[in-house]
Amino acid sequence: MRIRTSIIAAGALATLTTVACQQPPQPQLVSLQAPVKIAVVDGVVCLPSVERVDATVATTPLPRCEEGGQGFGLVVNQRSDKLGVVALGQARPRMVNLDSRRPGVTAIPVGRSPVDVAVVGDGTVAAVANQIDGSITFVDLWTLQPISEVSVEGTPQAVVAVTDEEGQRFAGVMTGGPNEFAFVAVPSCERPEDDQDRRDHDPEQTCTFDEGSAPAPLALPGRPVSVEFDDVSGLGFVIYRDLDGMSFVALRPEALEEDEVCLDGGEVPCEVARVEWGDEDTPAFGATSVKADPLGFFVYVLDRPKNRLLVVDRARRQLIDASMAMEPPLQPFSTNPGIPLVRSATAVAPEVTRIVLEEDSPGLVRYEIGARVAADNAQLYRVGVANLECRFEGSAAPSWESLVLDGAGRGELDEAACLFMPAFPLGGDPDFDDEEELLDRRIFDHEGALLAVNPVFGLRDGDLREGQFVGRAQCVHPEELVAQMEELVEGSLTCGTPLAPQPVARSVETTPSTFTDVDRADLMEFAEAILDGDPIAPMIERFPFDLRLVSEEWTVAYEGAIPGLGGNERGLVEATDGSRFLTGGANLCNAGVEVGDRLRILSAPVNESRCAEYQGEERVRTYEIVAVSPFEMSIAVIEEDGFAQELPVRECFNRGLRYEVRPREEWVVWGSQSGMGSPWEAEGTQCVLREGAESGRLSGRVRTGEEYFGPYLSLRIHEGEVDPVEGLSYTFRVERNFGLDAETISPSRQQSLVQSVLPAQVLFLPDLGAGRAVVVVDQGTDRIYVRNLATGQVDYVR
Amino acid sequence: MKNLSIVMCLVVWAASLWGCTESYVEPLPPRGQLYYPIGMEVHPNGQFLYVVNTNFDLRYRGNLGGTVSVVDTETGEILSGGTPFVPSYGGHLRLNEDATKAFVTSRFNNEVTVLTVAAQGQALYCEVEGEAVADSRPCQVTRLPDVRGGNRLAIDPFGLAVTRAIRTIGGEEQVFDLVHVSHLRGEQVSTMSFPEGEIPGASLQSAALVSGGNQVVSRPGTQDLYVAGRSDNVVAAYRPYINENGQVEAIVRREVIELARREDRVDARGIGFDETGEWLYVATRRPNALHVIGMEAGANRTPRVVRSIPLEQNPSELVVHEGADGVRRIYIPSYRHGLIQVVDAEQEAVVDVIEVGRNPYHMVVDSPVHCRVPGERCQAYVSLFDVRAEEDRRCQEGDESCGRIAVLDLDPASETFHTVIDWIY
Repeated sequence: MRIRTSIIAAGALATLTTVACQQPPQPQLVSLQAPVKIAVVDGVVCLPSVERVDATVATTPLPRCEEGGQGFGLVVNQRSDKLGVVALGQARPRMVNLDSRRPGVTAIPVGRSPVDVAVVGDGTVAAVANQIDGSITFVDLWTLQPISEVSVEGTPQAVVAVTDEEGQRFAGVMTGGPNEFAFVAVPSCERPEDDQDRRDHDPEQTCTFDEGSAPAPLALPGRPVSVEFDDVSGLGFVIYRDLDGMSFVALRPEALEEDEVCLDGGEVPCEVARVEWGDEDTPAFGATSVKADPLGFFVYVLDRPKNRLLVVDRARRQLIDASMAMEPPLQPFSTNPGIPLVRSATAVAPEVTRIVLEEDSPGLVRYEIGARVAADNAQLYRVGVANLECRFEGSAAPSWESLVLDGAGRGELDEAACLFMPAFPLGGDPDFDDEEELLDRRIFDHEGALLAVNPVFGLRDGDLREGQFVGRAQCVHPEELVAQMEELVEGSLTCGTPLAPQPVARSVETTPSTFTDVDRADLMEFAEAILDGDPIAPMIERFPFDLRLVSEEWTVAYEGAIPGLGGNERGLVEATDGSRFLTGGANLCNAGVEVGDRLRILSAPVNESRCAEYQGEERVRTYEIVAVSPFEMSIAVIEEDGFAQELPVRECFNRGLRYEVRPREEWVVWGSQSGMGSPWEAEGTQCVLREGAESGRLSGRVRTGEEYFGPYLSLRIHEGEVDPVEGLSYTFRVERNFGLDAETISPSRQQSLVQSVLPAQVLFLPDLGAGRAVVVVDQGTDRIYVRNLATGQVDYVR
Repeated sequence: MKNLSIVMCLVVWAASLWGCTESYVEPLPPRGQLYYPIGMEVHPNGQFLYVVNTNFDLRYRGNLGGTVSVVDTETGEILSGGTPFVPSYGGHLRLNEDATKAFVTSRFNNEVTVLTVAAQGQALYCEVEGEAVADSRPCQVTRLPDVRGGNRLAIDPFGLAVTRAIRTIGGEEQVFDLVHVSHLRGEQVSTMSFPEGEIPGASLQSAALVSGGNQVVSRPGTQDLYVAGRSDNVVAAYRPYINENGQVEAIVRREVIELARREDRVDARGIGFDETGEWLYVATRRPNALHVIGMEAGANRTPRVVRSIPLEQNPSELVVHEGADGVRRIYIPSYRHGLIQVVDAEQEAVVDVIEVGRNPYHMVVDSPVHCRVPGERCQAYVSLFDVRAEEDRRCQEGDESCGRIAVLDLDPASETFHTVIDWIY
């Protein structure tokens, strides 16, 4: 009977198994409740494959990694007060059910409102920061059981693994109220024997706390919000809510640069440097999160409300001004030191893409250094900081992990000679530099390696298309010119010239064949230094810098009316002094009005005989501007025929007036989005030159024969056979063709209903068995999205 | 039968003595009990709590099925004599600046009821020709001016804020109570201007700004109002234009603060400023999160979300309160889980959880005359919507009363800090 029962049971089981294989995957039970952080366990303790339908693993303690299994993830759930286990090393990630004896997906109970997790100590323990309880829960990773809960002073904001100068390991806990970085002793755990059921194991039997004394807490200068810690170098980075700055915190003497000391004059652990980006007039709101790039060059600070990513030069302890570091620089059009991002980027992860171009003799490798940011629109964007090409003697590193993660051993690699980054900005300006000067700035020698460094400092373009001019240039010919033109041109006179596909190289010479030709604008070119050829020699490759282009229409008008000025009826003639004309609120400095320009009153005067001087066409009421202040201009009569010979009087112009200002013998240049540049700004009652005006890029006007430099283009109006007159204008369109390099955070195999809405964390995973991946933890949808970098497949766990 | 007839006659006679122009149609709600309570307000003297009872199941007659309970906060007693009848589906109640008038929104017929507050706050009533009556029908506003062609109040008025404007008219200063209303359906926000808090001469304007406006708050130190919507993903800011005669002429849109991009309808339920007006907090259900907005955190000192903190499911309200210990806390009831999460605004962290019982809806904190120093009384009141009076279970058909008020201790020096210390029902 017993044998028959067993056979029947086995047969039933086999049937069930077969049926299960043929059925689609079971829908996932909901087990995540506001996941906010995931940490990877990889190195000492590993997880066996999760293959059972009920997502359980064996009840024995987890295996040692050298004996099998894969790395896995630990995710804190802020709403359920649980630490979940995620199998990340298999083809499809899964939440692990730790105890099938209980309904649902069992996770590890921790303290209330857990917000952070880190693997600490010798890799056998995890630490979880609990905000409501003000405590740290330690978890035995062999048995996935909570060991103990340790109270901390203040509200824990983050927990990291740290090692002090004596080699003792602690959980570094960053707290608010008091604002400090505290050191909490961590246990280490032995693996129980295989005959132990991990579900019922009491970890106090196999885990012991280190008896050593912890360093005193380190006081922080503000209320901390995020910390990144590199335990290999002993250097940490802290950002705040009430301080627009980032602290460098050294926990060990080797983290100090040469001659570097603690800011408070004490000893490590201490703050050794600080970068700040705010100003006195603006209230501080701090930043969102801080991350360090794995090559050790940069530290990234995400500033969600200001839509930017700040980049800090780690070795030089300096904030890099992105508006100057990009080439051509964004300044003076922008003084924002961060990389402009999309709106509401909530999480960032450093990313370095390494491409081996030549394996050895010599080795040639290209790095694309930057970050990924996740925003609340379900998109994951690539941000570029710098591209680096390196040629070196010897062989390329055997793997990405050996170069990046093995902090101690990577110095032995030939490719380690490539780990150099110059200070930004590199200086100079590719608009004005020749190619020799460009190469000088971009090419470096470092420990026998030849490096080409190209700053990016912007969102990466996914379309790789070129910005260009489009359509046809249009022109407007004043009537008085038409007759002259017809004498010169045989046949019909068409207005408009087709534009050849752009861009064209700077060196291309163009000679206009008719007066209607406008020399094609040269786009501001992005110059990239590359290493190529045999022998490898650096060279410059140019292509349009899409990021700075704007899709808009440009107008070039001879003695054109300065745009946006005087169109509303607000101008006023001063009541007692007709030489003073008040703008009614328009700022003349910002508009670019200059002495020598001409004011034209467009509104008709009062229709009375005493105002006859001003009657007639608008042109009659034109005056020369002899002085300019922010809201007022001084005017004088133009002593020529056809112009009023008396200054305007209030009796004849007794209401708000429309007016315009036109330069003399100059072309006005403006973009429909970029506007017209002005080198002036108001300071008190005067117009003064703006910072950066000397660059020549802020002016919105140009003379015939001279070169105009705009925010991203330059142009030249050549002399023609007919002199230009007021009213002659040309327009052309620029198409940006910039497509953000972005991916949608959405599962590949399902409807888009579960797209990410509020990402809390982005993390690049090492290869845990299923290839490298990028993970997005979403606290809004209660999901963790996993995107395989090789296949592009996106799965999720919930 | 004969006895019943006598009783009926007595009821009718009593009703006529009450001052109504017409006899009531039964049933009227009992005035000494709660019945599906939502909005609340505390009199500035701290002595009285006002609770809007909604008659949510329409057990009682629709147009007067709701009440506003006047509760003595010392004794916990509902003062039935001072409790007026209001329309069903009431929403929120706010007092004007000098606590002489109370304004109540209700959705039965889309009205705002203008009640007079007794001198010490011990009663609310509708004033008719100098007489205090419990029947609020003469004090209900659906249209201003109340003539043909007058502006009609938009559908489903719910959220409420009251501010004040002063104009000099005929050489004399005149006070205008400005009542700002959000509407649960449609996209309208409204402002009404009541001269000296009275209905005659009042004016009304509305504008489409945000979909499903749940609550409206004024920003301290400004004249701006901020509305968050259930069916939208933004907070809209506006300012009413009050002309020299104290009439509201227009609603001027000021700015829009985006809460989410992927989610079109965040279902915002709670909104509140800190005392400086520099920080704005919004609790949403999609996702369940508290959005912390720095009013000058963005580029060019524009308002932007600085951080989003996960919350328990179904937040229903948000109250910002600076305790006597100087700590600013944000209280967010979770309707689903019967608790209140306490967020430390400085730490941007959930630091406590208060179990209060089923269906917490609205919360109001004690008057500023209390809560000044640790050790002094400081209480908060939480309306529990669909729960039996004396047990934490859902109301049953036939229950005489439904709902109760949890009284919380907010004195940081107290041993019962952040616990329920009493019930009102």
